[in-house]
Amino acid sequence: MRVRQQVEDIFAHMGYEILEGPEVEDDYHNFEALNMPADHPARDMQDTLYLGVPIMGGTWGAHCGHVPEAQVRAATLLRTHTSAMQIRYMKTFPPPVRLIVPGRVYRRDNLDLSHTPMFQQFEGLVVGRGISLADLKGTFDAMLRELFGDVRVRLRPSFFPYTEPSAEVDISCQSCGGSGCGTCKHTGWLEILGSGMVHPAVFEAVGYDPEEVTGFAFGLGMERVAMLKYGVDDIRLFYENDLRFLEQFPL
Amino acid sequence: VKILLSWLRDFVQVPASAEEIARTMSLRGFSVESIEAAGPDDAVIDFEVTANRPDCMSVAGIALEVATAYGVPLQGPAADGAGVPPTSPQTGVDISIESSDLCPRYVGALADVSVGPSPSWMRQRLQACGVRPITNVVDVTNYVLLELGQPMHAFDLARLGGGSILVRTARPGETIKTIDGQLRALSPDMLVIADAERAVAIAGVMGGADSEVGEATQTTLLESACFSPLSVRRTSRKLGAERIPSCRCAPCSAHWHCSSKSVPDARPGLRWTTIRGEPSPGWSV
Repeated sequence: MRVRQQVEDIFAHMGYEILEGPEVEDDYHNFEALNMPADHPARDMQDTLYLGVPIMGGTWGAHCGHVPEAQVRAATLLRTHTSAMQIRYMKTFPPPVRLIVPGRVYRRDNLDLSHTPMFQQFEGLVVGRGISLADLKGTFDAMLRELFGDVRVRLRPSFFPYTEPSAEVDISCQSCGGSGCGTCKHTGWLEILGSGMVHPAVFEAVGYDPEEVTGFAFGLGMERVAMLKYGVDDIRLFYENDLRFLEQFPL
Repeated sequence: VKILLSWLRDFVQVPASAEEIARTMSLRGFSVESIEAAGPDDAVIDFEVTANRPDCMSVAGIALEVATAYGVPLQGPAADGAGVPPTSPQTGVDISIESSDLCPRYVGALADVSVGPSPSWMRQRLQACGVRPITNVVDVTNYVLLELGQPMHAFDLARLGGGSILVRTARPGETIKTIDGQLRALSPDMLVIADAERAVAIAGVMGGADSEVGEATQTTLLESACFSPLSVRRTSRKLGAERIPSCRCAPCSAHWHCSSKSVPDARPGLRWTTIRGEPSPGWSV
C-alpha cells in the first residue's frame, strides 16, 4: 500500500488521473480490444482465470464506455492486467488522456519467490497529439528517480500485442551500483516495468484516429517495486498477513 | 529456448563468450533467463523468446539474430549426407493432401534404419537442451526441431496401412491411441495424418501409438510438413496435449520450416518420396 500511495502521488503531481476498474472483466476488454483476438498466441503469455458466468446487467459498460451488446462476450474472467481499463476509459472520453489505473490482477501462476496468482499493478496511459517515445522515456526517468533515488534507466526491445514498439524498462541495480551481483543476476540491471507506444489497432478499437493521436502505455508491478525498494526477496510475504512483516511498512 | 553455444557456433563463427552473447542479445529483445556451464568450454544460454518471434525458437533462428548483431555471415550446418549409404530401392509412398487449407505442404522421406541409441554427440546436445534421448530415429526428429525449429515426425512404414499417407480432417467419431497410451476422441475440425484405414497421427500435436517407430522398425517415413498454426493450436488445446511442436508451428517461421533443406539435414541417407502441395507465395524455400 505504501508503494501504491507513493506511485499515485508521483503521477498525481504530474497531472495524471487515477482510476480503478472492475476486477471481473470480459474477454473483449481484457484481450480482444487490446489487439489479442481469439487464438492469438500472446494470450499464452498471461494464463487466465476464466469464470464462466456472464457479468450481470452490463454495469460497467454503462459507467465506463458503451460496449455493443454483441461484443460483451459470455467469457468472463478475472482481469490479467489493468490494461483493460484503458479501453473503457478511451471509449468514454476523447483524447488527450493521462491516466493511471492501480489495482489487483489475477493470473494462473504457481506460488514461488516471484509469482503469486493475485498481484497488484499500475497501468499507465498517455494519449495525445505528438506523444513520442521520448515522452515515455522522460516519464520513466522522472518516476523511477522519484521512487528509487539516483538510478540509471534503460529500455530494451520487447513485445506486447497492444504496443508497438514495445520496451522493457530496466533500472541500474542498487545493490551493486551496476557492477553485477546476485540481485541483478550479474547483469547490473533490474527489470522494473513493461511499456511501449500504443498499437494503432488499439486506437481503432476504441474509435480514436491513429493518424491523429499517439500514446504510450506501461504496466508496473507494485510488489516488484516494493521488493526492489525494500529488499524483500519473497513476494509471498506480502500476502501471508504476518503483522511483524506488514508493520514495517506503515502508510 | 535453450541454446548450446557450440551448436550455435556451427551456424555463426562468433568469437564472443556466452556472457557477452547473452548481454548483446538481451539488448536486442532476447532476455536471458540463465547461462549454465555445459562441460569445460561450452554453455547453455536460455533465451526468452517473445510471442512475436516464433522463428527464433531454434538454434538457426537465434543464430540469424546473432549473425546480424555481430555482423558475421550465417552458415548452414555442415550436412550433405556424404558417406552415408544410400537407402535400398523400394516403392515410394503415395502422399495426398485432402485438407490443403490446413496443410499447404507435406514432405515425406524414406530411410532404412536400424533402431538403436544415437551417437553420443547427439545425445549430449539433446540433453543439454533439456530433451531426453530416446532412439536414433526419434532423436533425429527432435534434433531437427531444436536446430531448425521444424517439427518432424517418424512413422514405421511397415505399420502404415496400405503404405500411404492422407492428410485430412478427422471423420466423425474417429479415435486414435496416441504415443502416450491415451485413447483420444477426435472431432471433424481436427487435422490428422491417416493411412489407408485410420488416423495415425494428430497433425502437429502428437503421433499415434500404432505407427510409432520401435526396435523392430526397418524403414521409417519421416514427415516434415506445414500445418495451419491456428488449427494445431486449437486441436492441442482441445485435447489438452501441449507439446513442443505445437508452439513452434507458426507462419512467420516458414523461412526455415518446410525448406527443402530440412530433410537432408536429418543426416541419414534419405530418399525423397512424393512431395505434395506447393509452398505459399512469398515463402522462401
